[in-house]
Amino acid sequence: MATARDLELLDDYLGNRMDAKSRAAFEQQMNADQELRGEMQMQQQMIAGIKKARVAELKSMLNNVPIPAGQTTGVAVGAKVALGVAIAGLIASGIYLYVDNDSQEIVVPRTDSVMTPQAEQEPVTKETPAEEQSAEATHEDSPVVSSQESSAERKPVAPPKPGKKAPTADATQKIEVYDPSTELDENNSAQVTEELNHSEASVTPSIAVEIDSKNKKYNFHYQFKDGKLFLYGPFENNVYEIMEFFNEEKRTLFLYYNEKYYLLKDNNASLKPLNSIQDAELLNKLKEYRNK
Amino acid sequence: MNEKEIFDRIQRGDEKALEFLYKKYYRMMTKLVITNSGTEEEARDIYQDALIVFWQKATSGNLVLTSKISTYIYSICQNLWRKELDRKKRLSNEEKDTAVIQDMDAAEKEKIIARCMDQLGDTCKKVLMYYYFEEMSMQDIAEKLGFANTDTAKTKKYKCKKKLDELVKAQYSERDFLD
Repeated sequence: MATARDLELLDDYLGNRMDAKSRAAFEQQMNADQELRGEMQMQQQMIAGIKKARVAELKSMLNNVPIPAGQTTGVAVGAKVALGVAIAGLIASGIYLYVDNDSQEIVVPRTDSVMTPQAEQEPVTKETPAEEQSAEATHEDSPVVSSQESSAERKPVAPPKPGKKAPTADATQKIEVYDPSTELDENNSAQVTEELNHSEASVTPSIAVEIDSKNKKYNFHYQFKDGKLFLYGPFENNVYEIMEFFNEEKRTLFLYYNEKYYLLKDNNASLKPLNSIQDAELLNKLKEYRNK
Repeated sequence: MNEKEIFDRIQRGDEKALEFLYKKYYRMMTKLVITNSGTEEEARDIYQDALIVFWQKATSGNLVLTSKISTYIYSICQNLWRKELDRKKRLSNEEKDTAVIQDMDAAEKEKIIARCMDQLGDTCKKVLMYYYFEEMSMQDIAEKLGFANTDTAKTKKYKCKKKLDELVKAQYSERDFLD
């Protein structure tokens, strides 16, 4: 029977913890001792068993490691495609809703033209300013047009006042997109100029003005609301001026800012972009009044 | 965790680092087998075996890493899968029968030892596994298992091994092992 010393030596022999000389001497001893040889085989199997038990334990541990869905190979491609489509859909919906809301808030419904004096509804300038064109392009490219019905439901057009032209069924379903061309009509420009000729300029504007320079969405817009004029943009950086003209009962407002003039239409409470006046005659008149 | 940090932790026998590594390269390694006519199960098996080879070499201090961990594990996967494909190819029906008999004998012995291992306490099992599989030093075993010093670890290992010997020998005569 193997002694404790033999088992210790076997352990070192099988664990490669013997130097070459001791190893050779031990092998010689084993060759001469059959019982020791048998014990060596048994110890070898036992150590192999311990190692296998450890491998099994580690494998069991790894089998319990949750592999993220994207990591498994079988469904990886399908899952990735599905995930990609879902994300793309979400992004597209997000952009759509954002642009949709944006467009709707800036919209000036065309049907409103019947509710306000002609002069203020018709375009003022005949040239198309660069900023107007870009604003127009943005609005028309937005997906608002493609979802007419749902948009109309979300933001219905204001009902007409008594005696005014009632919108048709088509009109209620149609998405109203801000049309800057209404400001490009030559006649209206001439009309406004003509009105100015017969107007009296007010020294101090009768309207209260509030400024919002931190609004990221509206950075150069205006709105008439609750009897006040709201200006969105960097109006705190430079001096601005509100020019008010009265012709009988009709009031016309202009904004002077950074050496440019802007017509402020107070016909409704919608938020509108500020577009500089390009009409040379009108500009001359405004300059003339301002320098008085 | 960067490469060095992972490797350091693996060398210290940190199983959490092994789990991290397993997840990190799962897709890369299993793809190798799957794209070479292996099943998902075979791929997982090969990858686990390769990772355990890496773990064993790293914890025993027998590995000086000269490449990225992933490159090293990938090459083990390649070798293991090649061997497996060769084995499958080589196996004729006749060879299969012989192999089955041999496997049954070895498997039976493994089962006996596994049963005896289960009869040991958890600490004993860990001491033996860390000593024989991870080839940890007595110092590392003492630290990992919270023993007072290396002498305690040595004594524990001696007693546990003796206990396993007795259990195995009690169940089967020496002749079973000496066949």
